[in-house]
Amino acid sequence: MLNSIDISTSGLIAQRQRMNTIAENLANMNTTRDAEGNLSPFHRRFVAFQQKQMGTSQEGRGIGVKVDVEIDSQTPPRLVYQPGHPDADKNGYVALPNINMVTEMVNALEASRAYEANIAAVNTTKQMGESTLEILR
Amino acid sequence: MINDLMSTSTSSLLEKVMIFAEKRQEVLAGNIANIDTPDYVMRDLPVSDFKAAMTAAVERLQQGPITNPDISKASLNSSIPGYPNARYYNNSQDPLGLLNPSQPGTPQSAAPADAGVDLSQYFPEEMFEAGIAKPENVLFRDGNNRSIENQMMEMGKNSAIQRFAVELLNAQFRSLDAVISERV
Repeated sequence: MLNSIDISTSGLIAQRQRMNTIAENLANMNTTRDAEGNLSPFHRRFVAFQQKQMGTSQEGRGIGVKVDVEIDSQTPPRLVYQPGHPDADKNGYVALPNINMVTEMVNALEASRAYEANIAAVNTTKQMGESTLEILR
Repeated sequence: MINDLMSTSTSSLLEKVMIFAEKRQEVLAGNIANIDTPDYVMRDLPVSDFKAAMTAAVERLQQGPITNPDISKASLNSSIPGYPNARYYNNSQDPLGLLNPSQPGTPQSAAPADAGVDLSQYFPEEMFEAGIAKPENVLFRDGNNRSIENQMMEMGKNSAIQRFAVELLNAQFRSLDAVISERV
Protein backbone atom coordinates (compact mmCIF):
# COMPACT_ATOMS: atom_id res chain seq x y z
CA MET A 1 0.00 0.00 0.00
CA LEU A 2 2.72 2.44 0.99
CA ASN A 3 4.74 1.18 -1.93
CA SER A 4 1.98 2.26 -4.33
CA ILE A 5 2.24 5.77 -2.95
CA ASP A 6 6.04 5.71 -3.36
CA ILE A 7 5.63 4.63 -6.97
CA SER A 8 3.14 7.38 -7.69
CA THR A 9 5.45 9.85 -5.96
CA SER A 10 8.29 8.84 -8.26
CA GLY A 11 5.95 9.61 -11.16
CA LEU A 12 5.06 12.98 -9.64
CA ILE A 13 8.71 13.88 -9.15
CA ALA A 14 9.51 12.86 -12.72
CA GLN A 15 6.73 14.99 -14.17
CA ARG A 16 7.60 17.97 -11.99
CA GLN A 17 11.23 17.71 -13.09
CA ARG A 18 10.02 17.67 -16.67
CA MET A 19 7.97 20.80 -15.99
CA ASN A 20 11.08 22.44 -14.51
CA THR A 21 13.11 21.81 -17.65
CA ILE A 22 10.26 23.19 -19.77
CA ALA A 23 10.20 26.34 -17.67
CA GLU A 24 13.99 26.65 -18.08
CA ASN A 25 13.72 26.23 -21.83
CA LEU A 26 10.98 28.81 -22.19
CA ALA A 27 12.71 31.31 -19.93
CA ASN A 28 15.93 30.98 -21.91
CA MET A 29 14.46 31.06 -25.39
CA ASN A 30 16.58 34.03 -26.38
CA THR A 31 19.57 33.61 -24.07
CA THR A 32 22.84 33.99 -25.93
CA ARG A 33 25.31 34.00 -23.02
CA ASP A 34 26.05 31.60 -20.19
CA ALA A 35 26.14 32.45 -16.47
CA GLU A 36 29.71 33.79 -16.70
CA GLY A 37 28.75 36.14 -19.51
CA ASN A 38 30.60 34.21 -22.23
CA LEU A 39 29.03 33.98 -25.65
CA SER A 40 27.32 30.59 -25.76
CA PRO A 41 23.66 30.08 -26.62
CA PHE A 42 21.60 28.20 -24.05
CA HIS A 43 21.29 24.48 -24.74
CA ARG A 44 17.85 22.97 -24.57
CA ARG A 45 17.21 20.74 -21.52
CA PHE A 46 15.03 17.66 -21.67
CA VAL A 47 14.22 14.74 -19.41
CA ALA A 48 14.85 11.04 -19.98
CA PHE A 49 12.66 8.61 -18.07
CA GLN A 50 13.81 5.21 -16.98
CA GLN A 51 12.14 2.33 -15.13
CA LYS A 52 13.21 1.82 -11.53
CA GLN A 53 12.60 -1.07 -9.13
CA MET A 54 11.08 0.36 -5.99
CA GLY A 55 12.19 -0.55 -2.48
CA THR A 56 11.51 -4.02 -1.19
CA SER A 57 9.05 -5.08 -3.85
CA GLN A 58 9.57 -8.40 -5.55
CA GLU A 59 10.62 -8.94 -9.10
CA GLY A 60 8.08 -7.73 -11.61
CA ARG A 61 5.91 -5.84 -9.19
CA GLY A 62 6.06 -2.17 -8.34
CA ILE A 63 8.11 -0.41 -10.97
CA GLY A 64 8.62 3.29 -10.42
CA VAL A 65 10.22 5.84 -12.66
CA LYS A 66 13.60 7.53 -12.53
CA VAL A 67 14.26 10.84 -14.19
CA ASP A 68 17.46 12.29 -15.65
CA VAL A 69 17.88 15.80 -17.00
CA GLU A 70 19.84 15.78 -20.23
CA ILE A 71 21.35 18.69 -22.13
CA ASP A 72 20.86 18.78 -25.87
CA SER A 73 24.20 19.98 -27.21
CA GLN A 74 23.75 18.33 -30.63
CA THR A 75 21.04 20.43 -32.19
CA PRO A 76 22.61 23.46 -33.93
CA PRO A 77 21.49 26.92 -32.77
CA ARG A 78 18.86 28.89 -34.62
CA LEU A 79 20.54 31.67 -36.66
CA VAL A 80 18.65 34.94 -36.86
CA TYR A 81 19.78 37.91 -38.96
CA GLN A 82 20.08 40.77 -36.52
CA PRO A 83 23.16 42.88 -37.38
CA GLY A 84 22.74 45.36 -34.52
CA HIS A 85 22.81 42.69 -31.83
CA PRO A 86 25.94 42.80 -29.63
CA ASP A 87 26.33 39.01 -29.98
CA ALA A 88 25.94 38.91 -33.77
CA ASP A 89 28.75 37.29 -35.76
CA LYS A 90 30.59 39.06 -38.59
CA ASN A 91 27.81 38.27 -41.06
CA GLY A 92 25.20 39.79 -38.75
CA TYR A 93 23.67 36.51 -37.54
CA VAL A 94 22.83 35.88 -33.90
CA ALA A 95 22.94 32.28 -32.66
CA LEU A 96 19.83 31.75 -30.56
CA PRO A 97 18.98 28.59 -28.58
CA ASN A 98 17.16 26.02 -30.66
CA ILE A 99 13.97 25.98 -28.64
CA ASN A 100 10.62 25.52 -30.27
CA MET A 101 7.87 27.08 -28.20
CA VAL A 102 5.15 24.82 -29.62
CA THR A 103 7.10 21.69 -28.67
CA GLU A 104 7.61 23.03 -25.17
CA MET A 105 3.95 23.93 -24.70
CA VAL A 106 2.76 20.53 -25.88
CA ASN A 107 5.27 18.94 -23.53
CA ALA A 108 4.03 21.10 -20.67
CA LEU A 109 0.46 20.05 -21.30
CA GLU A 110 1.47 16.40 -21.38
CA ALA A 111 3.48 16.75 -18.18
CA SER A 112 0.64 18.38 -16.34
CA ARG A 113 -1.84 15.72 -17.44
CA ALA A 114 0.54 12.95 -16.41
CA TYR A 115 1.01 14.71 -13.08
CA GLU A 116 -2.76 14.77 -12.58
CA ALA A 117 -2.98 11.07 -13.41
CA ASN A 118 -0.42 10.32 -10.71
CA ILE A 119 -2.31 12.47 -8.23
CA ALA A 120 -5.47 10.51 -9.04
CA ALA A 121 -3.55 7.30 -8.40
CA VAL A 122 -2.35 8.57 -5.03
CA ASN A 123 -5.90 9.55 -4.08
CA THR A 124 -7.23 6.13 -5.00
CA THR A 125 -4.48 4.45 -2.99
CA LYS A 126 -5.22 6.69 -0.02
CA GLN A 127 -8.91 5.86 -0.25
CA MET A 128 -8.12 2.17 -0.27
CA GLY A 129 -5.89 2.52 2.76
CA GLU A 130 -8.53 4.45 4.63
CA SER A 131 -11.24 1.92 3.88
CA THR A 132 -8.91 -0.88 5.03
CA LEU A 133 -8.55 0.91 8.33
CA GLU A 134 -12.33 0.93 8.63
CA ILE A 135 -12.35 -2.79 9.30
CA LEU A 136 -13.10 -3.40 12.96
CA ARG A 137 -13.95 0.20 13.55
CA MET B 1 -14.46 -22.87 17.22
CA ILE B 2 -13.32 -19.46 16.14
CA ASN B 3 -11.17 -21.13 13.49
CA ASP B 4 -14.21 -22.88 12.18
CA LEU B 5 -16.18 -19.67 12.11
CA MET B 6 -13.49 -17.89 10.18
CA SER B 7 -12.73 -20.60 7.70
CA THR B 8 -16.26 -21.54 6.73
CA SER B 9 -17.38 -17.98 6.20
CA THR B 10 -16.15 -15.99 3.24
CA SER B 11 -13.90 -13.76 5.34
CA SER B 12 -10.76 -15.58 4.22
CA LEU B 13 -11.78 -15.08 0.60
CA LEU B 14 -12.51 -11.42 1.16
CA GLU B 15 -9.09 -11.12 2.69
CA LYS B 16 -7.61 -12.58 -0.50
CA VAL B 17 -9.59 -10.09 -2.56
CA MET B 18 -8.15 -7.24 -0.50
CA ILE B 19 -4.60 -8.52 -0.80
CA PHE B 20 -5.03 -8.92 -4.52
CA ALA B 21 -6.52 -5.45 -4.89
CA GLU B 22 -3.70 -3.86 -2.92
CA LYS B 23 -1.01 -5.61 -4.95
CA ARG B 24 -2.78 -4.72 -8.16
CA GLN B 25 -2.97 -1.11 -7.05
CA GLU B 26 0.80 -1.15 -6.77
CA VAL B 27 1.19 -2.45 -10.32
CA LEU B 28 -1.34 0.06 -11.72
CA ALA B 29 0.38 2.92 -9.89
CA GLY B 30 3.62 1.78 -11.52
CA ASN B 31 1.95 1.84 -14.94
CA ILE B 32 0.77 5.39 -14.43
CA ALA B 33 4.13 6.54 -13.07
CA ASN B 34 5.78 5.10 -16.19
CA ILE B 35 3.31 6.58 -18.63
CA ASP B 36 6.15 8.44 -20.40
CA THR B 37 8.96 5.95 -19.93
CA PRO B 38 10.36 4.59 -23.19
CA ASP B 39 10.26 0.79 -23.61
CA TYR B 40 7.93 0.34 -20.64
CA VAL B 41 5.20 -2.21 -21.29
CA MET B 42 2.05 -2.01 -19.18
CA ARG B 43 1.85 -4.68 -16.50
CA ASP B 44 -1.00 -6.29 -14.62
CA LEU B 45 -1.83 -9.16 -12.30
CA PRO B 46 -3.66 -12.20 -13.72
CA VAL B 47 -7.17 -10.88 -13.00
CA SER B 48 -9.13 -13.50 -14.93
CA ASP B 49 -7.16 -16.29 -13.26
CA PHE B 50 -7.93 -14.75 -9.91
CA LYS B 51 -11.62 -14.54 -10.71
CA ALA B 52 -11.73 -18.18 -11.77
CA ALA B 53 -9.83 -19.24 -8.66
CA MET B 54 -12.25 -17.24 -6.56
CA THR B 55 -15.21 -19.01 -8.16
CA ALA B 56 -13.52 -22.31 -7.51
CA ALA B 57 -12.79 -21.44 -3.90
CA VAL B 58 -16.34 -20.28 -3.26
CA GLU B 59 -17.77 -23.51 -4.62
CA ARG B 60 -15.33 -25.46 -2.53
CA LEU B 61 -16.38 -23.49 0.52
CA GLN B 62 -20.01 -24.30 -0.06
CA GLN B 63 -19.26 -27.99 0.20
CA GLY B 64 -18.02 -27.57 3.72
CA PRO B 65 -15.06 -29.33 5.30
CA ILE B 66 -14.13 -32.62 3.73
CA THR B 67 -13.64 -35.11 6.49
CA ASN B 68 -11.91 -37.88 4.60
CA PRO B 69 -8.33 -36.65 4.04
CA ASP B 70 -7.81 -39.04 1.13
CA ILE B 71 -10.68 -37.63 -0.82
CA SER B 72 -9.75 -34.06 -0.22
CA LYS B 73 -6.20 -34.77 -1.26
CA ALA B 74 -7.12 -36.74 -4.34
CA SER B 75 -9.59 -34.20 -5.57
CA LEU B 76 -7.68 -31.02 -4.90
CA ASN B 77 -4.12 -32.03 -5.64
CA SER B 78 -5.03 -33.81 -8.80
CA SER B 79 -3.05 -34.33 -12.00
CA ILE B 80 0.30 -32.63 -11.62
CA PRO B 81 1.99 -32.92 -8.27
CA GLY B 82 3.46 -29.84 -6.72
CA TYR B 83 1.07 -27.57 -8.51
CA PRO B 84 -2.25 -27.56 -6.76
CA ASN B 85 -4.11 -25.64 -9.38
CA ALA B 86 -2.64 -27.43 -12.35
CA ARG B 87 -5.91 -28.86 -13.48
CA TYR B 88 -7.64 -25.60 -13.29
CA TYR B 89 -4.95 -23.89 -15.35
CA ASN B 90 -4.80 -26.59 -17.98
CA ASN B 91 -8.46 -27.17 -18.36
CA SER B 92 -9.83 -23.97 -19.75
CA GLN B 93 -12.97 -25.69 -21.03
CA ASP B 94 -14.02 -26.67 -17.56
CA PRO B 95 -12.19 -24.57 -15.06
CA LEU B 96 -14.45 -25.85 -12.35
CA GLY B 97 -13.53 -29.45 -13.02
CA LEU B 98 -11.46 -29.09 -9.91
CA LEU B 99 -14.60 -28.36 -8.05
CA ASN B 100 -16.15 -31.73 -8.12
CA PRO B 101 -14.02 -33.11 -5.38
CA SER B 102 -16.52 -35.18 -3.54
CA GLN B 103 -17.90 -38.28 -5.14
CA PRO B 104 -21.58 -38.76 -4.49
CA GLY B 105 -22.15 -40.42 -1.21
CA THR B 106 -19.08 -39.02 0.47
CA PRO B 107 -19.75 -38.71 4.15
CA GLN B 108 -19.57 -35.04 4.94
CA SER B 109 -20.96 -35.04 8.41
CA ALA B 110 -19.09 -35.55 11.64
CA ALA B 111 -16.47 -32.95 10.89
CA PRO B 112 -13.85 -32.49 13.57
CA ALA B 113 -14.45 -29.39 15.62
CA ASP B 114 -11.58 -27.39 14.18
CA ALA B 115 -11.49 -28.66 10.63
CA GLY B 116 -11.52 -25.54 8.52
CA VAL B 117 -11.40 -25.41 4.78
CA ASP B 118 -7.94 -24.64 3.53
CA LEU B 119 -8.30 -22.37 0.54
CA SER B 120 -4.73 -21.19 0.23
CA GLN B 121 -4.04 -23.75 -2.49
CA TYR B 122 -6.38 -21.91 -4.82
CA PHE B 123 -4.22 -18.83 -4.63
CA PRO B 124 -0.60 -19.69 -5.38
CA GLU B 125 2.11 -17.05 -5.13
CA GLU B 126 2.19 -16.67 -8.92
CA MET B 127 -1.28 -15.23 -8.80
CA PHE B 128 0.08 -12.14 -7.08
CA GLU B 129 2.94 -11.52 -9.47
CA ALA B 130 2.71 -9.04 -12.31
CA GLY B 131 3.08 -9.91 -15.95
CA ILE B 132 2.42 -8.17 -19.25
CA ALA B 133 -1.08 -6.67 -19.25
CA LYS B 134 -3.57 -8.23 -21.65
CA PRO B 135 -4.95 -7.28 -24.04
CA GLU B 136 -2.00 -5.27 -25.19
CA ASN B 137 -2.56 -1.76 -26.42
CA VAL B 138 -0.93 -0.32 -29.55
CA LEU B 139 2.80 0.13 -29.21
CA PHE B 140 4.04 3.68 -29.57
CA ARG B 141 7.26 4.64 -31.30
CA ASP B 142 9.13 4.87 -28.00
CA GLY B 143 8.31 1.24 -27.15
CA ASN B 144 5.62 2.10 -24.62
CA ASN B 145 2.07 0.83 -25.05
CA ARG B 146 0.48 3.43 -22.81
CA SER B 147 -3.24 3.85 -22.43
CA ILE B 148 -4.06 6.21 -19.61
CA GLU B 149 -7.80 5.68 -19.97
CA ASN B 150 -7.46 1.94 -19.48
CA GLN B 151 -5.20 2.35 -16.51
CA MET B 152 -7.42 4.86 -14.75
CA MET B 153 -10.49 2.73 -15.38
CA GLU B 154 -8.78 -0.40 -14.08
CA MET B 155 -7.68 1.54 -11.03
CA GLY B 156 -11.22 2.73 -10.39
CA LYS B 157 -12.59 -0.78 -10.74
CA ASN B 158 -9.86 -2.13 -8.51
CA SER B 159 -10.56 0.33 -5.75
CA ALA B 160 -14.30 -0.35 -5.99
CA ILE B 161 -13.65 -4.08 -5.60
CA GLN B 162 -11.42 -3.45 -2.61
CA ARG B 163 -14.03 -1.21 -1.04
CA PHE B 164 -16.65 -3.87 -1.65
CA ALA B 165 -14.53 -6.50 0.10
CA VAL B 166 -13.98 -4.17 3.04
CA GLU B 167 -17.69 -3.50 3.40
CA LEU B 168 -18.59 -7.18 3.30
CA LEU B 169 -15.87 -8.03 5.77
CA ASN B 170 -17.10 -5.26 8.02
CA ALA B 171 -20.65 -6.58 7.86
CA GLN B 172 -19.44 -10.05 8.81
CA PHE B 173 -17.47 -8.77 11.74
CA ARG B 174 -20.37 -6.65 12.87
CA SER B 175 -22.76 -9.59 12.93
CA LEU B 176 -20.14 -11.61 14.77
CA ASP B 177 -19.86 -8.78 17.23
CA ALA B 178 -23.62 -8.76 17.68
CA VAL B 179 -23.60 -12.45 18.43
CA ILE B 180 -20.79 -12.08 20.93
CA SER B 181 -22.44 -9.24 22.78
CA GLU B 182 -25.85 -10.95 22.72
CA ARG B 183 -27.75 -8.15 21.16
CA VAL B 184 -29.75 -7.95 17.99
